[in-house]
Amino acid sequence: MRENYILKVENICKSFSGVQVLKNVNFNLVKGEILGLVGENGAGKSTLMNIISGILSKDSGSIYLEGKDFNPSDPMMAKDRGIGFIQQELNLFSNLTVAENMFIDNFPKKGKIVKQINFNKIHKDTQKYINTLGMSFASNTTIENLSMGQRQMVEVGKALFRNAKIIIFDEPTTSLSTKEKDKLFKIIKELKMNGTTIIYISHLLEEIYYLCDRIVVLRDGEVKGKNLTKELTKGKVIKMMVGRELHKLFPYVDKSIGDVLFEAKGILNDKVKDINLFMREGEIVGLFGIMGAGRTELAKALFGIDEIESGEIYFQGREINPITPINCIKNGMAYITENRRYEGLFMTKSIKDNLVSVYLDRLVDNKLKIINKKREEKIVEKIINNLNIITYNENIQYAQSLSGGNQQKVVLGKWLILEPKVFILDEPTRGVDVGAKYEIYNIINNMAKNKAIILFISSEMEELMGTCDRILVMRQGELVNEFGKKDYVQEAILRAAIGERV
Amino acid sequence: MSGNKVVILRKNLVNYFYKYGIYSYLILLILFFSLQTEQFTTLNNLINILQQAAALGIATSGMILVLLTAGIDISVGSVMYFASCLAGIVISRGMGLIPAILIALIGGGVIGALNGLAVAKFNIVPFIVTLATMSIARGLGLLVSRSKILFFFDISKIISVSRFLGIPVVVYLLIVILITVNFLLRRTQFGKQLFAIGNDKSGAEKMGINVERKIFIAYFICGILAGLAGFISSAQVSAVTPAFAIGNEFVVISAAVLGGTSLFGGKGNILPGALMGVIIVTIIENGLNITNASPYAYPVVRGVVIFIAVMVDSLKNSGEHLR
Repeated sequence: MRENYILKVENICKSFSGVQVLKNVNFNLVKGEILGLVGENGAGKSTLMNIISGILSKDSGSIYLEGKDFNPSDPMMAKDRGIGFIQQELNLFSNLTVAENMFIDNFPKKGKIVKQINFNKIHKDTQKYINTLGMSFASNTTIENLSMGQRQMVEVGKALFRNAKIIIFDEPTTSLSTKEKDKLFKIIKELKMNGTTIIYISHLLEEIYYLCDRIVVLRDGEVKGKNLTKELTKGKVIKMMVGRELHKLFPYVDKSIGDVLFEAKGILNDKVKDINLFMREGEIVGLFGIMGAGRTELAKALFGIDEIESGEIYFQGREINPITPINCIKNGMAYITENRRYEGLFMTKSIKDNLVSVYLDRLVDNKLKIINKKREEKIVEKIINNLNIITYNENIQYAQSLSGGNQQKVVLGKWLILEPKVFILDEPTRGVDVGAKYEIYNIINNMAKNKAIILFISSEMEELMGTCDRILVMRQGELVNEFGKKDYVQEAILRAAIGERV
Repeated sequence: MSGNKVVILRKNLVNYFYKYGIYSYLILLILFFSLQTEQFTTLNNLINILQQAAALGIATSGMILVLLTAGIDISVGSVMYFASCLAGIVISRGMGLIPAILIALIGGGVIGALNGLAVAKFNIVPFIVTLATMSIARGLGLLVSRSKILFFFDISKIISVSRFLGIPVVVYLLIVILITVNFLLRRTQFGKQLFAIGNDKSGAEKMGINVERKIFIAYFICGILAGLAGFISSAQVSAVTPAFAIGNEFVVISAAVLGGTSLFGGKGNILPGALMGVIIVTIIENGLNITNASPYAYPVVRGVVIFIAVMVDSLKNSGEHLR
């Protein structure tokens, strides 16, 4: 049966700045099958596909395509060897026509003295692919006039046109309507009939079960299961996706939870639908959901970064009105974005400058608004000691030269100086190593112990279960479920997040 | 829902203005100036306008190549000056027309290549690069001319007086260049790839397009055409003064943007867009001239024209780039 494998992946390893993302990944792809690739956010699916399609290079391991060694150094090379990768972000030029997009890197030309594009040929060829895919638009339509589903079909056409033997779809249905989804599935099945091999990545098990012959489950960069779809129940798949044990990874702190102090009522905008939530003094509330569930959008709405159509926020019995970032900060709220590189830190400023950046107006104590250096020094020293930020000199060292964990601690420290009472943390431990994670959990616990309220957004269920008093689950912009500390069951939470009843 | 309707209505209005607005604008201008003075609508003046438009139109064609890549070249005015100085020196040494044109093209090409290299290879922001070369080219021009006025007497006759079928030769030259660049953009791989780069540079790289090379070529051609435009323009006035073509880059940019080229990159055309834009800009200057408007009003009017053109451009493109 060996010859039947169109692609063999052996012992692939990959790490980013010391964090191992893929660990000895092995799997095979049978010619003409549809393989479903599932896993939690950050399980390594995209990294694996990026390696196969030449966007990233692997650290070690080997890949064989049709029995021959396959080591693409760039995406073009992978394309030439027959790998088509349809990413979530489509690679189309919206100002050009469908036909021009198909041939942009190498147009067929005519004319002896002056080489000009042979438009007749590109339109004829393109129309052929459009028709094969059962679409009805013309080849000279500009991309910006096509719907998302139609654009995706153009990508499929591009892959077919390049004689792709393997087509990888990365979450292709996130921006499609139901109708377009059905059409895409029909096309994928037809592609299979014509001998094309498909790798299909999705969070939605329904889709996987509808389409795929086999399922590979990735967890923490390792393959946790490769079975025929019919041999696996959905419950088993979910178990393989999460099935970790809670190690003693999470610090415990003795604290008391008080009365409800923060309340949001009917928060509504185009991203979040009628959210009601409350949080108690000293409570750590987790917010879980798959990518695109609207967690960050909710945080932005609560903090006044995104406009809301309706809704009210009350803190300590008083309404925060209007809901703007400035007003929220005034009322003792703080928000740490998931994008600490771009939004949370001045990368080319010293650690000290970063730490005091939101505190400056309280460091001036005279009419000339000159900063009191002594107080500045004192407060910076205190926060560095409290958070155990490791630096050789906080006055000189730039934020950009810190490790991910220490950077995150600086971001936390910056807001901690203000002693906020409501703290929204969006993925505070992403890209941070285990040791630093533990310290960040400690910081969070201590804040809660000092009676702060914490809304902890994360894609890692484990850490939410380890640190939070309560977990809220979002799906498609709605709060769909709530779990108290006693009811934490990984599978149940994941099911709520992906909307799967088993 | 009604908010949505307003948005759609606004979008339609903007679209309408974007598509046909330029023609209405042109007609309004012609009406306005012909009511001000009878001189405006004479055949002589119309030919005059075309003649004045020639140099500007040639420089605008080059600028559009750069704008398409989402870049900008503000050294054009200085390059025009530098190239004319070189040509002026060649002429003053009695070396004739052809060497003068060649040296102007080479001078423009060198600065253009410098721009292209810095932007494409070293990834420096186009505005800053060309701000530097704007100063460099102007300075080089002042150096080689010793900041004196250079005269073009003999050559100017060939360039500005000679006509074919009653139309000045420079107008033919303008038409040839417009048609060539139009062909380049609409019918060649190079042109289409410029559009792709302006739309999504990293996407173009992923598709295997040699982005660096195409961007370099765009700036290179822009420099050469600016050199040519400088030569024609100075030959028409038969002299190069140290203040020659100062601020011309903005006239050229506003002509391009008026003609539908976007400062955000990826959108633009030569025929009819650039032609229309250049004619409008020229009519405004010509009209101000023959209605004896104060010369100090020119920069004000130029500024207003740029402002309106750029505002329409960002209205048209708002939302699209925020996807």
